[in-house]
Amino acid sequence: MTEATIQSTAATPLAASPLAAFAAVQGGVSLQERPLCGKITLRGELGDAGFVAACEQALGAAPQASLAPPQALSAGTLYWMGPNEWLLHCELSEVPTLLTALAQAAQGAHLAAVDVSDYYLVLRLQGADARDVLTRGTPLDVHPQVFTAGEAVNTRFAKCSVLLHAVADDCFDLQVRWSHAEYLWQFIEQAASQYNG
Amino acid sequence: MSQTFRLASGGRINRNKKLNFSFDGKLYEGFEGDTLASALLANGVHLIGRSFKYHRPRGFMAAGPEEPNALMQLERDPYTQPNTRATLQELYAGLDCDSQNRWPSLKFDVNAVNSWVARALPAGFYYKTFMAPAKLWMTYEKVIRKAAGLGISPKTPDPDWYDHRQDFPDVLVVGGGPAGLAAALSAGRSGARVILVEQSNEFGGSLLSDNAEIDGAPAQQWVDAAVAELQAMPEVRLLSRTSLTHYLDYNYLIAAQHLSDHLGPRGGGSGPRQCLWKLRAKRVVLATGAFERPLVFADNDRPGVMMANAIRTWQHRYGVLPGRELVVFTNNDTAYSTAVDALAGGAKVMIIDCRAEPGAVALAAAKQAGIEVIRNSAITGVNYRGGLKCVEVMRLNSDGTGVQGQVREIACDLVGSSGGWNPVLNLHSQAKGKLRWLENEQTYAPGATVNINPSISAGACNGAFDLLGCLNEGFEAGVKAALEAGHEVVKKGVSSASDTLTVGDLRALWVVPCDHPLGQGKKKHFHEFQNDATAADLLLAQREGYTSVEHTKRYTTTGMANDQGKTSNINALGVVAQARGQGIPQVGITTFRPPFEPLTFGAIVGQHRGDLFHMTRKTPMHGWAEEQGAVFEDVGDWKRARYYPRGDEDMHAAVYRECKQVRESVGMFDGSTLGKIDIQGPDAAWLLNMLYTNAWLKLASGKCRYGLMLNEHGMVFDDGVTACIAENHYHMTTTTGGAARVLGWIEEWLQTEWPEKQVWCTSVTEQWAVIALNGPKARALLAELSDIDLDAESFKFMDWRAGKVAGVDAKVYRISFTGECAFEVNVPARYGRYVWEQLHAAGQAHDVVTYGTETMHVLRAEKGFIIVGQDSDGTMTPHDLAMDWIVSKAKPDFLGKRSHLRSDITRAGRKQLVGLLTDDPSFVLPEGTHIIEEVKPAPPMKMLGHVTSSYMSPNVDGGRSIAMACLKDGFNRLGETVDLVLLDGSHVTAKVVEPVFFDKDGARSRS
Repeated sequence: MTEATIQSTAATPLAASPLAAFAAVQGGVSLQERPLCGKITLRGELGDAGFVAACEQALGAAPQASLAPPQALSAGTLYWMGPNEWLLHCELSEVPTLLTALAQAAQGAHLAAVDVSDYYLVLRLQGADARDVLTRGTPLDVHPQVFTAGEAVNTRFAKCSVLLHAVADDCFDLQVRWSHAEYLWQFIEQAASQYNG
Repeated sequence: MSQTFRLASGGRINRNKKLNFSFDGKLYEGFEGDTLASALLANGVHLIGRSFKYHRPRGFMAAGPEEPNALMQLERDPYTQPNTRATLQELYAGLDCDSQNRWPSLKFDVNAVNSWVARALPAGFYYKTFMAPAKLWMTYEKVIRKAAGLGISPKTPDPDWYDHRQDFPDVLVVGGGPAGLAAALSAGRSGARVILVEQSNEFGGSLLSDNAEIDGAPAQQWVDAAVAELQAMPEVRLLSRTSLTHYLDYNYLIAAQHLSDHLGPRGGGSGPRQCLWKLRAKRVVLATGAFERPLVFADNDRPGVMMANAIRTWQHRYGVLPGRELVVFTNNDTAYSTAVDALAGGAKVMIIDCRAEPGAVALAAAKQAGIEVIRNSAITGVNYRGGLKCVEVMRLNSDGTGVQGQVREIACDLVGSSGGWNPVLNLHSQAKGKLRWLENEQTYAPGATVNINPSISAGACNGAFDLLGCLNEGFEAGVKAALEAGHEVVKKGVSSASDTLTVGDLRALWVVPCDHPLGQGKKKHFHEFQNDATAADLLLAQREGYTSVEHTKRYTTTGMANDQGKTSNINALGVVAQARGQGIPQVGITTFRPPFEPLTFGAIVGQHRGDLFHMTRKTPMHGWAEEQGAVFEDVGDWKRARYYPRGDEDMHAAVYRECKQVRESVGMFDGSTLGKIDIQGPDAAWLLNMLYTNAWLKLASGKCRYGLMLNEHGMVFDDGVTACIAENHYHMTTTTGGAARVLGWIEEWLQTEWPEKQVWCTSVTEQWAVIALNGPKARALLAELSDIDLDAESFKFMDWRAGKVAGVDAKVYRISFTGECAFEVNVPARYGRYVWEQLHAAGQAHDVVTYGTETMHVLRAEKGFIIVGQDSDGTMTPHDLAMDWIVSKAKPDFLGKRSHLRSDITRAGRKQLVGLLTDDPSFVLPEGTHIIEEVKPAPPMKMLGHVTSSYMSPNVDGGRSIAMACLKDGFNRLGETVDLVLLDGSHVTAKVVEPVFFDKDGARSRS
């Protein structure tokens, strides 16, 4: 197993990534795989006091009600995915603890917390021309005045669904399905090639 | 001597940089800054192609995108590009191009006989001639295509790549001439996001072809200052060499940016050749200018006859005067500028004016220059013999319908014709804008726009033909567009611009008469050059009843193909209107269709080709299977290992071996692609009870159940095993192909019909890698690596357990699609390959075999397990599939239940799933083979059904073929023998049996 694999998945040397064979793209625009993080899909209704209380207890805050920059919680980063759906990015090792905490805090409230850590990978696109590279695949307006640092949205890139997070003005995380990651990587790599000479 | 028609000075070319190029195999020289067209004209090359239908010699008509004739075959395979407009193609060193539509050579073209027999090739010729017999059309079509084609497609894959990108300008300005630059300036000054699209390599538009002044200085200074100011604005993007091709609804526009076409093959290095911009604009400013209108006179298509203003462009922009003796033929004042400039450039010039009274300013200018103006006259013939020799001129009669008097021959090698100007309406028209008729100019200008496509037309494309008017309209349009997009604007314009000649009192002669009536004699009056249609064709269409303007267009091929009527449209309408004695507005107008400029297929495809055409989904164990030499098959977007050949095994040998070994020892199968849905909530069991046909309310934690899902018609549409993970928590599996469909189906019911139900569904398909262990030694193998108690008494068939497998947290389901003792090991995807490798290594002691989807298909068929979509086709109920046992009679409701009461479903004689055993056990029926009622020598034969699955099984009766089939009234035919007809016409017989061929009581799966 290569050095890159171990780094990219961090948790254990037994784990493998579909992107293990791809060398990070370097240059004016860089592309690399983020270390695998824990991911929990959270479902519930904000009108359900039990659900809100469970979230406050287990995660430290109630999930936000609409699309807005993701919430920074003690447990991790919480993305709004829909009117009754959120996605928590957390430490991979914390997933079982958090699932248990949510289940216990729910106390019969209607809440679903599902481990989807392996369902998705996160690619990081960075550099002064990163936004220009994004225009190659997404129908989203990524102008810096429109899609500002800190914001995250679900959108499309080429033929993939992605969760696109503007980590900073010139730094973007793209969360993509495990089985779409290779395609997304190659698409971005080609688009970025014109900026990397 | 080269470049003999290049002027000693002037033009926006770099005379220090000579570029060699080749046309039809002959070498020429041009300069950097030339187009292919200007470089050819600099060398005196006028004959550049043969016409589409009559194969008449053709030359340059225009200097821009409206050029109908100069379509070239650029470069060689794999870089070859047909129909390249020489007037848009910038010259580069080594450019290699050929003329099109001629054989064997441009000067001697065999099909030019079409011209001699032109009387036999009238409009609608193909419709009339190649009607019958219909089956011969494919033959006719090939011959016609070869004779009438426009260039040759590349034969090899395109080595270039193409880019796509999106942008969302507040203001999109189309056209970088004076109006467009002014609009971009005023919009840009507001801070709005502005994109300015210009087709050419340079901004300036008509100012590049002119000697105008703005604010008392040469216009070029204003252009340079404007471009510099725009370039300094951070929110303004200037796109030159970019063709706006589509104006679609909701201000969605498409533009093709030519990144390296001007550099030639490989000139762009590793970068993309073109970029297709998808633009969603808040406001659009159309500043697309105007095209000059040719006069429709006798033999007006001869090389050397061109648009008057094109000559000005050659002269001012490229430093080329493409003739020594110029005759300007006009019905308006603008062409006088061409005459005066050409004279100053050293040509001998004469003006033929249709009008008795030309405009005073124009006339004075000609007089001052000493140019002879022949008034109230027309060109009635063009003498072309290997080159333009002279024109015939006669006096017009009073109403312009005929000519009179003596013929005067005027020697010339260049004719500049002007019939007025047409605003470029294509994009406005694509956006469904209305048109308004300009009586003085005898043309259309943009009228009202539709609400969904807010745009403003400015400058010549809006009917403002004078420079100051263009600039002012541009500035105002930019202000208005920026304001409407929400940006405050400081208005600032120019104070003066030099006078330009406008059309003045134009005399519309839609058909310029000659010494013969139209359509008689040898002379032809072309209104449509690219598609080779004449005024006589238009009149013929009227006589033959194709009077609707849309019918006229199609019958005569006017304004079709990549030209889209840029030069022909108004002239055609004028000819038709004149013939009918109507005004043009009464005739109506045809639709301008996208693209405005031809697009390469590469630009449309963009990055979506080769590996990037579509994603290929691979399982976590894919790499291992690849290393083992597995052969893969496509299942939806997935690649699945189909079989693992050893040595030189073919598929049949490999599958036979795999099938046998699974039942003898143990097989490993990658089942990761199965759809998986996590279902949670107090109503989860209720939901399952509605989704599946069988009973789900009492499934205990730790247990699994197989279920069949029906659609609302009661037909089977998916199946799979669902496990109860804990109270109110289930793990559903679906077919690989049905994963997304099933989740969508469930969500639709939950969100639209059952919103009060408390249940959440989450796809977990890719969370889990699935390794299925099947076979009598599966338990022994798993036991080596798992801490789970695998004892058959405590871990029963259709149970599941959590535990470690190879040290990894796993969920193990005792479910079986092979009929063997089986364990499906689920681990998080990242560990899939590791656990697989560990199991495979441990399996060596158990004679393990890896098997793929093909073997899986055979094994399940031995057991009579269906594959939804293969053995069922959307018209089969559980009863039809002999699966009555899974349909609850006690449940009050489930999806599809009600439809089972329909008479068509309860009737006798439906097609039902049965097994077939061929009388010849070694013969494997092709899937799809028809079962017929009675064998006849030839079709038709009455069909009773078809084979859905068919394999060679090593495990049934020591090795024989087995099949499943849909057979009419199949259950009542058990034991009968049926006939099946093969594709070669022969037939075979088979016995109808129950579709369970192996281990009928299912003891092995429970063992």
